[in-house]
Amino acid sequence: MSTILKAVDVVAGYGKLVVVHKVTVELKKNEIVVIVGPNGSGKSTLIKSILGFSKLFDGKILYENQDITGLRTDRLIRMGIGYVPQINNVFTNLTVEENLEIGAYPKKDKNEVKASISEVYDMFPVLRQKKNERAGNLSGGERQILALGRVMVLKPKILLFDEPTASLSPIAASQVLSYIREICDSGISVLMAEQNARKGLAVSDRGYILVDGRCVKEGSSKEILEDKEIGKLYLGLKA
Amino acid sequence: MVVVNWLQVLFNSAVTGSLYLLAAVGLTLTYGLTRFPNFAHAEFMALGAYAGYTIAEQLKLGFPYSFIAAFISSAALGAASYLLVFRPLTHRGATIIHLMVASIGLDFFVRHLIKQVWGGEQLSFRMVWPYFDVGPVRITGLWVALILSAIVMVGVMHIVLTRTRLGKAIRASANNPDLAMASGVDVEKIALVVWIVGAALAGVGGLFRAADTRLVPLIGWEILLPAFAVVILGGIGSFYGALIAAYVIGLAENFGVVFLVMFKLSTDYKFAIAFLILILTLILKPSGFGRLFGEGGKVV
Repeated sequence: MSTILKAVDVVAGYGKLVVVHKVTVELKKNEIVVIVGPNGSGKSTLIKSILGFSKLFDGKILYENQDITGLRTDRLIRMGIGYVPQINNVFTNLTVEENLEIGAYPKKDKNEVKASISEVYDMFPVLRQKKNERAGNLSGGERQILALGRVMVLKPKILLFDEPTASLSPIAASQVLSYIREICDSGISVLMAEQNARKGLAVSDRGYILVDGRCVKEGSSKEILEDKEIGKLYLGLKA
Repeated sequence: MVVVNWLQVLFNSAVTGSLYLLAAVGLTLTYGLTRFPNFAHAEFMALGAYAGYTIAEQLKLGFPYSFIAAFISSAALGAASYLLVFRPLTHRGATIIHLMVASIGLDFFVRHLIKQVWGGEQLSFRMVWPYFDVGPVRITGLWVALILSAIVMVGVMHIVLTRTRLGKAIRASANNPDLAMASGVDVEKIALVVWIVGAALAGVGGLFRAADTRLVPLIGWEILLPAFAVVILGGIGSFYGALIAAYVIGLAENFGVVFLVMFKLSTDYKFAIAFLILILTLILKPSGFGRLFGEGGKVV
C-alpha cells in the first residue's frame, strides 16, 4: 500500500507551548490509523497541526508526495483532506441540509452539490429525516453523524478525526466507529485521534501510542491490543 | 398643554428606525464575523455623507448619484480598513482589545482626513425634497427614500443570508470560523465581503442623516451610540434582532422626545435614551432579541 499522508518529525503546540515532540505518523491508502494515548498526550494537537489548527514549530507534512506544510486549511480541504473536529463539529445555527451545503462549499455546480448531498442522505438516512432541523437541536450522536456527512459531501481522499467518540454514549460511539470503518472500506483513508483506546484500536489497522507528546509505540492495532504491558502502562487496558 | 400628533411621532419613529438599521447592520455583521466592536464604523457613515454631499451639492449630480457615491466610497473604506488594518492585526494574534483600540485610532485618522478634505465647519444639503400629507402625517421624499432603502436592504439581506451560497457561508463563518475553514470556506474572503457591505450600508445611512439634518465631521459618532444600542438590544451578530431593535429604539427615541417636552425637559436628553436602553439590555438581558429567533435567526 502506498503512503498518502506523512507527518514527519512534527513538533507542534499552541503559542509558545510545545505539546508534540518530533513525532512521525504515516497513513497508507485504504487503512485506518489510530493515535491513542492518555489525556494531554498530544493526540489532538498532532491531528490539528496537519491542518494548521495548532502551531507547527518544526517538521513536514507530505500529502500524495507533495509538501503541504503551512498551506491554508481551506486549500487543504479542497485538495481532498477532510477533517472532523472533536467538539463544535457542526454549524449549530444552520439546518442539517445547510450544514451539508457548506460541506460542499468548494463545489460550485448546484446539481453536483444536490447529487452529493443525496448520496450522503443515502449513507446516513437519519440526516434526510432531519434535513430541515437546526443542527443545534440534534443529539450528540446525530451531530457526530452530521459531522461525518458534512465531510463526506466532498468525497475526500483522506479523513482526519479528532476523538470521534468523545462524549458519546457507548451505543452511539460504536455506531460512529462502524460508520468510520464503512467510510474506509469505501476507499477513504482515515487518521484519527481516539481517547477510547480499545474501541479505536479494534476498528483500525495500525496504531500509534503517544505519551507526553512522544511516540512510545507503533505497530498493527492487533499487536498493540495484544501487548498486555503496553495496554496496562499506557492505555488503561486491563489484562 | 402640548398637543401631540401621535401618528406623526409613529412615522418619525419609522424614519429613525430605518436610519439606525442601515447604520447598525454592518456593525452587527462585522462583529459577528471578526468578534470586536468597530468604532471606525462611525467614519464609514461620515465618509458616505461627505462623498454624497460632494456629488449632490458640489457637482450637482442629484441624490441618486450621491447615494451611489456614498455606497461606493464607504464600501472602499470598509475594504481598506479590513485589508490594511484589521486582517494584518488578526494575523499577528491581536486580541479584541487590540482590535478595538485600533478601530478607535483608525476612526480618528479617517475623521481628521475628512476634516482636511472638506473642512470642519457645518455643511447643509440645499436640495428641496417634495413633501405630502397623509391625513395628519407629513411625509417628505427623503424619508420615503430612507424607509424604502431600509426595506430593500432587509429584503436583499434576508434572501442573501438564507438562500445563497455566500449568505450561508457568512452564517457558517460567523457561527464557527474554524469549521467553516475546515469545510473549504475562505473565511477571510467572506469577512471582506461583510466589511464591504456593512460599510456601504453605513455610508448610505450617513448620507440620509446628513441630508435630513446637517453635515459635521462628528456625524458618524452621533449615530454610533444608537447603532451600538441596536446591536446590543438586537443581540450581537443578529441581523433579525437588529431589525427589531432599530425600530424599538426609533420608537423609544421619538416617543421619549414627546415625554421630555411634556415634562418640560431639554430634548437634548433624547441621546440618552439609546444609551439607557443599551445599559438596561446589558443588565437585564445581555443576549437581547437574538434568542427570539434562536440561533437560526442569528448570524453568529
